[in-house]
Formats: sequence, C-alpha cells, structure tokens
Amino acid sequence: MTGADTDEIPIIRLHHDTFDNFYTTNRTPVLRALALTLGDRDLAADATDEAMARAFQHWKSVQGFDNQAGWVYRVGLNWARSRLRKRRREILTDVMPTSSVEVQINDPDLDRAVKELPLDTRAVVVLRHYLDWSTDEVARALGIRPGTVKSRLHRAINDLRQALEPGK
Amino acid sequence: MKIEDRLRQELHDTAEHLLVRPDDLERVMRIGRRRKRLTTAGGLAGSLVAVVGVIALASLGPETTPPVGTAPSTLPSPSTTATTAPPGPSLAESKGVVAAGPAGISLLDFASGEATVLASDPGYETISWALSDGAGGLVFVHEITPLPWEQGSIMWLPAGATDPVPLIAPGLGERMIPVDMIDGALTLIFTYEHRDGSELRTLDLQNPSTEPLLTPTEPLQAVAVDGEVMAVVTGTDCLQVDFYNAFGGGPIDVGFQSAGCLPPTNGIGMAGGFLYSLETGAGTTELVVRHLGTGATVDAIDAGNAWQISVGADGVVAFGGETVTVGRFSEGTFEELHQLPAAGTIALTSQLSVAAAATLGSGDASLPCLPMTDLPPLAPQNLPPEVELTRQKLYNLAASCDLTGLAEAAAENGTSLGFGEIGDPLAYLIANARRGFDVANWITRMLNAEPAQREDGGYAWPAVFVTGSEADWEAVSGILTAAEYEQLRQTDDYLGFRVGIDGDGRWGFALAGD
Repeated sequence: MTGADTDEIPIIRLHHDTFDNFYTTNRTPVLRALALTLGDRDLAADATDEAMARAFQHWKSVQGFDNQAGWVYRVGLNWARSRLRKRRREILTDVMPTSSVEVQINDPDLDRAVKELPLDTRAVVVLRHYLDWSTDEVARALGIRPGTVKSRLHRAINDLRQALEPGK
Repeated sequence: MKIEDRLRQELHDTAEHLLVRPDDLERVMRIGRRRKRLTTAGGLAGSLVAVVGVIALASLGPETTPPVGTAPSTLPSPSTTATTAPPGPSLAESKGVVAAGPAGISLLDFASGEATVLASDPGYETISWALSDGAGGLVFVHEITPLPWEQGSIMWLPAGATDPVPLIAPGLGERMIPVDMIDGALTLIFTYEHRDGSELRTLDLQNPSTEPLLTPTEPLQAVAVDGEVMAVVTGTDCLQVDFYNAFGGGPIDVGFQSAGCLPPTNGIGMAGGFLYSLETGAGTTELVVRHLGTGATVDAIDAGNAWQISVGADGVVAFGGETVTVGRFSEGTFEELHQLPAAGTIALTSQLSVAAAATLGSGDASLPCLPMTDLPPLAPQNLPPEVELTRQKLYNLAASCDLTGLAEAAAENGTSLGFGEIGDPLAYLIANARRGFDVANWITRMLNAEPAQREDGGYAWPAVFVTGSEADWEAVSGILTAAEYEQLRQTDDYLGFRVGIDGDGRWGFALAGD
C-alpha cells in the first residue's frame, strides 16, 4: 500500500467472509471509483449493483479472492464498457439513451485532461491515485502486467502534464 | 504541486462530494439469488454435454507432488548442459497472429492482412492472455473465468476442438500466468505465484501434469522463450537476465550476461536475439535487440509507446500500446509486417485456418449438441393449424440438433432467446450448449408438455408458465428431473424454460428466467 495515509484509504480490503460485510464496506468506494473512471454517476451505480449481484451469485468463488473489491471493480467496468458500446449504437439508431449524470472533477482543466485519457488508462489512474493501490495490486485487479500498469501511469501523467503545463 | 498530488487530491475531493444512491443489499442479494437458481436449473439439462471432453483439473500447491506416472522432476542443475528438443510435431510456417484483447480473441491473417474478431462466442468471455500451442490450438486465460471453471484456470482449445479444456487452476491467493510454449512439445511454461514466491513450471497439455522448471532466488519479473533458450529476468531494483535451457537443462551460456543492472524495461522477448524495451528518459521507448552469442546490440528501434513484447516464432516480434505492430528482425533491420489496432497480448500461431473459425470460435464445425434419436414423433395437440405447424417444425429442428436451423428460424421470427442483447443467435445457442444449457434439448422436452393459451392469443409450453396452477405444476413435474423441479418451485411463478408461439404461428420465445 502506498501513496496516502492509512486513514485516507477508501477501501478497507480485509478479507470478508460474508457477503453482507463485504458489501457494506466496499459498495460505496467501488461505486465512487467507477464513477471517477467512467465519468458517469448513474452508469457507475448500475455497474456496481450489477457487479455486486454477480459477486453474491458467485460468492463461493469470490470469497476466496485476495482482492474481492478489485474483482467487483473489474466486473463493473467490463459491464459498463458493454453498456457504453450499446449506448453508442442507440445514439446512432436514434434510440433515446438512458439517463446519466456526468461526474466532474472540480478543477475544470484537470477534468478535461482526465477525460481525454483512454478508459483503460483512467482505470489504472483511479485505482492507483484514488484507491491508492500499489502497482501490483492494480495489475492483479485489472488482469494486466505490472509493467503495463507502470507504462499506462507514465503515459497518463505525461499527458496530464502536457495538458496542464504545456510550457514545461 | 506535483501533478500526481494534484490528481490524487482532486479525485478524493470529487469522490467525497459525489451523491450516490443508498445501499440496497436486499435488492442485490435478491437478484443474485434468482440468477443462482436459474443458472443451476439450466445447467442440469445439459449435464451430459458439459461432461464431454472435461479433463480433471490438476490442483497444485507448493507442497504438492507431481501426479503418479509423470516424468521425474526436471529442476535445473547448474552443472547440467543444454539438452536437445524432444521429438514433437513439426511446425508449419506461421500464417498469422492471435491477439487477445478486451473484445475477445482476434486473428490477423498474414495472407489477407485482415483481422477477424472471434467475439461471436460469448463462451470465451474476455481473454486476458492467449498463446498459440504451436499446433493450431490456443492456450488462454480469461479475465474473469466463467463458471463452472475455477477462477484463473488455464484453458486449452486444441486444434479442431469445439470446447476449451481446463488444464490447471490456481489455489486461493495464487496466480498462474502462461509464458510460452516449448516448441513442438505441446508443453506450456507458466509462472506460478504463491504465498512463498514465484517459480516457473511446465505443463504437459495432453496429459495435464506439471513439473517444476526453475525457482529463482530473486523475484521473477519476466520470461521469454525461443526454441530451447529461455531468458529470465529477475530482481527488484536491479534487474538481471539469465538464460536457461527451456527443456529443463539448466543455465546456458549464450555469449553474454547482463553487465550490471538491466535498464528499466516494460517487457522482454526472444526473436533473433534477446529483446527488451528500454525507456529512453525522454518519454519514448526503444526496442533493443542483443545478439545471442556476442551480446552486441544489433538493432534498436523507436517503439513509440510500446508496453509489451510477446514473441511466438523465430525472428518475429510484436509490440505495441494502442496499436500492435508485428515485424521481423532481419540482418539488423526491422521489417514491419502488420499492424493490429486495439490488440492486447499477442501470440503467433502456425495453423491459423485450423485454429479458428469466425462463427464458432474454434476448429471443426461440429456442434455441442447431442441429436435425440430415440424420440417418438410429436403427438399433435389441439392447436390452430399455424401454431401446430410451427410447433412441429421447431420440434424437428431441436430433436435433430439443428442449431443452425433453429438460429435461422429465430432470426426470421424475431424470437427472444434470452433477456437483453444476445447477438448472433447461432453463436448464442452454441455457447449456451457448451455451458451445459442445451436449448434444443429443452425445446423438445417442453413441446411435449401441455400448452396454455396466453391472454394475447398465443400459446406457451408448459402451461404452468401461464396458469401457475397446482395441476399444471404437477403436470410439468413429469418432464423435469426431481432436482430441476425442486429448484423451480422455490419461486412462486414458473421461471423455468418455456416456449411461446403466437396465434399466427410466429415463434415468439424460447428462454428461461425473468
């Protein structure tokens, strides 16, 4: 665990034996992380509920994972990704898209710059800098290599720097 | 303030002020509980299908001994000299690459230059790793392993097979990552991360047994294999590369060792030499090739934002970030062969045409459905002629296991085969059958039951779906197993499989759940 003081860590990732405990502790942090990643509060809420339902459905397996919240985050992200694809099709075919509330970072320049990042990169950024997970924890949660996490973070920070401090 | 600190602070502030829906544990559990029931109910029908082709998972723990009858341990010894490759099938010339990404498995055919996404088969779910097995098949790992397989299972789709086979699964708190195949031996090298550290092991695909290959004393960072040479990068702050014989022959001398620490690298490979990506410090990445034998740098190319290198055949390398580039090093120059946008992990496969078919996801087109040859002709029921005609047609298609015919009928009629978007009906039927939910089998069973007329004038089988009466529950018990019946009775309404035909003969639905 790196980055922030212990009392700032949004997810208490102790191992949870019962789904009730897991849900109560992790639902809000996961929802917030997904909202920051997706930039859409309602989509994030739906994705979290969907992922939590799947976690309950498969609790016998999920219970054994060392990062249960990471699994739920990834399932939620994948679910939201397919919803976004579908939403794009709906827009193309003039079907009224479902409602959404945009999540905006207070700093408008940073908000714009973060939203310019690809979704997969945003996921890495949020897990690392909001949930304060280590590179290895992010890699395990997303099922990618630690080197991939590092390079995505490296690129993301470079892109943000370019956008926010173009002279430097 | 540093960008990272500003970012962290803003993310926390934004999250704290986000208004979110209140928790609703009861609702989430209700949804999960219902799905659990339905998944189990569906799986019962096709248990015979699900059993076909399953090879028992080999469980593995640090204390586990190899299964009886396997070859002795091949832990390398420093004094052992290199051995030659065991005999195996000779490899055909590479015809393309297989890439696993968020969309599933993609194929890039070198001859046509076209990429085909095998996303038509939901049974594969999202793939996080894929390797060619060197003989026309694939070894892969799901991001989230679908049930009934254990999370993190290494799967094998042999050439010509229609079902992937689970080979081995990690235990709690463990992880297994395929690294590469030993050429011509149908043997996989994989990293095995457990509580006590990491090690490299081999896995015989045909007779799933595993052997230790190498247990590094320093943390394992990256591995690449080409032919009989295996490059292993270890360390934490100071990375070192050592070379071993991939057949368990121990350390080998390839003409150079890393002097001091390897520069920070995103990945390594073996193709016409030892390859590693090098961060230049100016925000760019170079791909460097070191000659095996002299250790001299023979090539260094700007790899843009390369983040991963995977290599699968002699002299061919692939790298990329948003776009994957495949090319060949030849006499010190890099010849770009193909580009594949939005790809992930890459493996080369030698028999592309055998390895995959776009609609089925794998080799031959045999369907995972068992024709039901012993069924008697369907007895007519007291129905309008159009409805009876459709009933007979559906029954004949299902009884003969004609999933293609069923899919065509569903497409023509706009039939609901599931809730939400199901994509291609044929791929959907096949994938469900592979998972043990054989729709054809269910259709034949249901159309033998008594129907009931719906309010809109159409008919549904079984009648209990419409009436919910005790008499109809009693009737449906005759076409369900006791376990299926017990599970379905846990809800007030009948949520099991049912078939609907409209009054004009249109096939309306064939699905389960709510």
